[in-house]
Amino acid sequence: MKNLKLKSARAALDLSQQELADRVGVSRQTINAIEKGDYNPTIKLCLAICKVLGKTLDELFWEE
Amino acid sequence: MNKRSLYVSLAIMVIVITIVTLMAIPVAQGHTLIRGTAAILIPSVFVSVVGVMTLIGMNKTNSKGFDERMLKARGDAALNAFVVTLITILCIGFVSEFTDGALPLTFFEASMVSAMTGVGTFIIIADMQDAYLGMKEKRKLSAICFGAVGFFIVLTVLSGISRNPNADNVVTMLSLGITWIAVSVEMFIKMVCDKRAEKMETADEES
Repeated sequence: MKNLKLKSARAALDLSQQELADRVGVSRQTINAIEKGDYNPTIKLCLAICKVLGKTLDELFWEE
Repeated sequence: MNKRSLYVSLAIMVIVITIVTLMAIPVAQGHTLIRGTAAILIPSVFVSVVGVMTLIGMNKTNSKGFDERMLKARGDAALNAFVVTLITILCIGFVSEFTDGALPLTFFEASMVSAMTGVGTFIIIADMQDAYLGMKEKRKLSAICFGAVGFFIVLTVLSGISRNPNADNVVTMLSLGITWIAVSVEMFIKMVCDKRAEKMETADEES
């Protein structure tokens, strides 16, 4: 399932996938895979993404 | 890929190409005297390469060489490569057994074919998931290098066979050459796919 919350949060900060990847310390393909729902990140990576985007885990990764 | 890794990778590539070239020349001339030397050289090369790659891998655990997705993808690729290697060994064994030795492979050649199949499978699967050495820069150059060396080896072997049909190491060298060509083809296909995906992502982001 696509993670549109992550994509919109990233777009709100006007960050490209590459910029977010650089700040989090992973590859662009990893961010792309998370947004497309192809890869389930570990809690460590989720937290790193949340910190960079200024969101909580629930806001970005909780599926309703 | 940082500079140090790039230099080490280039050095490995140069060493491998040099040794392969040194081995290929006698094969091309149809000599049959290289078997003993090759039996020592080829495993030595692979042990050296694996050793250096392991050292690089150990140094990369604290760097940004591979992220968690890449490590997982590499693990999956290694498992797949292991299974493919086992299947190759079994296939060679079965074919050899059921055709009463019609498959003219020595134990060393069968081992090399299996090993190269495994190595090729690992590189291709890992690279398809963007997890092979994190190789994004100089990708076109790498693909051309792999392809050129592969074609060189195959042409050399074919030249050797035409001069001496009983030349040694034909199967070993062919498996090496075909593996490199397969990796090169995969890298080119991946490049095209990546470009299309990037265009679609850019269009998607703009919308």
